[in-house]
This record gives sequence, structure tokens and C-alpha cells, in this order.
Amino acid sequence: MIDIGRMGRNMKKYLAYIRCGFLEGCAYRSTFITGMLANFIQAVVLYYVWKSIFTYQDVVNGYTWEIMKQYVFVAFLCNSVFSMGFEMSIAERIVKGDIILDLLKPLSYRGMLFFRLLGTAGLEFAATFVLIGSVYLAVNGLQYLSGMRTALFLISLFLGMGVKFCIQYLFSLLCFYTDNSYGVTKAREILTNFFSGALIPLAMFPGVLRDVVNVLPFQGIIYTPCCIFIGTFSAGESMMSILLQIVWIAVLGLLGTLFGKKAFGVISMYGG
Amino acid sequence: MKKFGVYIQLYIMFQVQNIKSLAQYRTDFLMMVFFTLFSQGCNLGLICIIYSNIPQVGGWTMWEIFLLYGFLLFSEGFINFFFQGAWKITNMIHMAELDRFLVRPVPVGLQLLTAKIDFDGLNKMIIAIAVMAVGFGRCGLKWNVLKATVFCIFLAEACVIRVCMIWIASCISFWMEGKKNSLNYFVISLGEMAKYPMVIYPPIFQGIFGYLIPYAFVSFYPVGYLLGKEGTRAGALGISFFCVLMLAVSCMVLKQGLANYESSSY
Repeated sequence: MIDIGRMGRNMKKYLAYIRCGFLEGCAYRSTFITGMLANFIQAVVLYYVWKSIFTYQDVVNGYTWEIMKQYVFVAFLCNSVFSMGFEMSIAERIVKGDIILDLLKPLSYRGMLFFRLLGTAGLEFAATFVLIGSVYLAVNGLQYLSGMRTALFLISLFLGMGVKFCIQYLFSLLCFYTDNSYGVTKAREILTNFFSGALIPLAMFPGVLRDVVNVLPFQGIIYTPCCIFIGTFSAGESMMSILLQIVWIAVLGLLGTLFGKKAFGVISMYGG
Repeated sequence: MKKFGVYIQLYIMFQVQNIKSLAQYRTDFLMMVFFTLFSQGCNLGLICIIYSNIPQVGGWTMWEIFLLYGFLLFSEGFINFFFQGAWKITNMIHMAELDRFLVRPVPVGLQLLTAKIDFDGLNKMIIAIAVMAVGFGRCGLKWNVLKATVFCIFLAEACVIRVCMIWIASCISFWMEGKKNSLNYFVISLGEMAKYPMVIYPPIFQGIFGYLIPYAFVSFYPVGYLLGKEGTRAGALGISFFCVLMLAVSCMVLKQGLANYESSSY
């Protein structure tokens, strides 16, 4: 967050990274498609679980079947965009020593990562949007859509990606200390899936857990954009939660900068 | 028959070597214990949260769902620990590492199955047993010798079916000519569906999971039969049949695949 000024000047270089990320996404599309399908299966499973639940009762914790039908698919959209975790590849580069090439570039390391992922995310968004948009319309039709909410949703979705990136960045820095990138990635994936509302609306969490979730940054990734889109948040609430997302990005970004300075110091490498 | 004795001996020898190689990564192992506990805890927590809002899903209570989960997790752990090599096939074909196996006087299938070991599987199996113990305790199932035997057979067959699923999906690589094969990941993600009773899905999905990718026989039918659920009796009889069928297909796929194999190296 501190390097915004420098970022402006280096925008041209970053644009190259966006392009690079986009091409990378095209080249590794099978990885992305598998990931998306896995997520999609989860969404379908949840869809039918909720469907069977709602045949017995009309309202679960304030959620009706009409709202739930939307939630499942919108959550899937939010989860699929920016789905690629980069911890694994960073860990690989640390082990091989290639990481030094990234750190030596005349660009911020984090900025480079971010813009590369942004390029990939653009591709992911397009692909997921086509798939899920058609499923969503087939299931729900046009009746719940509202221009204002959709615009806010897109902003919130983008900020959610920012939150997710900051969290991933912090976890990826852990790889400088441990080579077990698989464990780190898994832990991060599970934490975000569980606490972001990817699997179940956070409003359904019982008492204490709900309070815990409220003070964590994860809800900004999926729950916030989803609630804005399906209209469980009022206009005021939407604004507040978008503001909260921005605050979290700032806090996590700062943490990343501080932790990054420490983490880059620990690597020692052969050759060079 | 004597030949099989030798194979089993070889299998044990290979696995012991694998275990030795793991002693290198002791902290890694401890971290994985922690992460596995954590992730399985979260998964079970999710089920608890859903059930804290509602009494049942498709006529199944939370403890019954735990049993489905236990069956799935146990079979997953079983693959990870005993036959993790099934996952490596795609990579081995891709990198032409398979050539090394072809020149050894040991069956390729055996070498492939023992190509890797994942201690995480042990954690998973232990967690699964704990989950099932709690689940069966809460369901108030009356145990007798017959039921216990049936349970053990079902669990073993579920494991075999699942190993075969991964095996077949991985072996498709033989025909993909260097393209990246992610079918095995796809198959494992489909397991998500088997965490809930089959009855909640529409007929088309039930058909796919009943016959095409037989996940129904890994969790739904065995657990349903043990709990005496309606409409699972016929399916329970089919478990053994599918188990044998999957084994046969696996053998065939490997045989055909090897005949079709062209190394990407020289």
C-alpha cells in the first residue's frame, strides 16, 4: 500500500505483467478448469443439500429458498475468480533459488505478483461468468437483478479479490520459513473457504463463531459481495461493508510489507 | 499362488523403503498432522453448522451423515497411505519416468502402486475411525457379529473401489499423449457428492454416481444398509459386484495402456 506512488510510474511495466498473467492463464487452462469444476461440484452439492432442506421448512435462519438459490451460485462466482493460489509456485521458486530473480527486478515484488494474478483473474472471471451466469439465469431468471446492487457487487468483488490477495501474500511469506507449501496452501484454502462464506452463509453460524467471523477479514472475500448482490444488505450496510473491506486491505497490506521485509531477509541461496 | 506371496513381500519391502525416506521430513510430518486435523475439523464443523439450523437432510440426521463422511475419509486415507502411487502415474507417464519401471523384472502395476507413500493417509484413517465410532455410538446401532463382518467387508470394498477410480482416471494418461491429465483430481472432487445421501440428488446424478463413477457404493449404500435405510438393500448387494468390476477394468486399463505406451523420452 505504501508503494502506490511508485506503482503509478511503473504502470507500463505492470501492464506487461497483466498480459503475462493472462497468457499464463491461457497456457495452464486445464489447471484452472479442473479447479473450477471442483468448486462447481461443491456448489451443485450445496444446491441440492439446501434444496432438500427447504422441502421440509420454508425459512432457515432468515434465508428462504429463493435467496439461497442465488447465494450458492454467486458465492461460487466469487470463489472461482482469483482461485489460483500462488504459495506453491513461490515455494518452488524458493527451493530452486529462482526467487532471487523476482526480488532483483526493479519492481515491487508484491506488485508484480498482484498484476500477474490480475491478468489470470480476468480470464477466470470471463470463463466463470459465462458458466455461472447461464446457470444462474436458468435457475433464478432475471427477476432479482438490480443495476445498483450489481454495480456495488462488482466493486465489492474486486475489493474481495484484494483481501484474498493480501491473505495469500501473507501465507506465501510463510513459505520462506517452511518448505511445506502444500500444508500452507491447504491451511489457507480451508481457512478462507470456511470463514469467507464460500460454503454456507455466515449468518447461519451459531453464536460465538458468528462473532469470531465478524472480526476476521475473510468475510470480505465472498460473504460481503454475495450479500450485496442478493440484497440481504441494505444500501447503508453495503457501503459500510465495502468500507470495511478497504480497511482490511490496508491493514493486511501493511502487515504484508512489514512481514515481507523480515521474510526476504531469511533466504540464503546457493549459486547466483 | 506362490507368485502372489512374492508380490506381497515385494510390496512390503517397497513400502518400508518409502517409510524410511520419510524420516527425512520429520517436521513436515508433524505439520501435516496438524493441517489434516485442522482441515477435517473444519469439514465436520461445516456439517455441524448446517445441522445447527435444521433437523435433517433428506431424512438423514447429523450422526448418520458423519458415517458417510467416515467411509469417504477412510477410503481416502487408505489410498494415501497404501497406494498413493496411483496418483503419480500421470506424472510418470508425462515425464517418461515409467521407462525405468518397464525394464525391471517386477510387475509394473506393483511398482506404480508403491511409487509413493503419504503419511497423511494414516491421520485420515485414524480421524475417520474416530468419526465413525462417534457416529455409530450416536445412531444407536445394535451390533452383532454379522453386522461387524459386513461393516468390515464394506469398508474394504469401498477402499478398493476408490483406489480403482483413481487408478483408472490416472491411467487415461496413456492415451492422452503428453497432455496434462487432471481427471484424477476431477474424480476425487466428485467425492464431495458422496458426503450427503444420494437421495437428495435428481435421478440423472443418481445414475452417474450409481453406475458411471460408483461413489454411491463407497458411502451411501454401505452406510444405508448398516443403518437399515429404505432402498439401499439392493445397492448393498451390488457393492461386491462393482468392486470386482472396477478391479477388472483397472487391470485391463493398465494392460492396454502399457501396450499403447510410447515413451516421450528416448
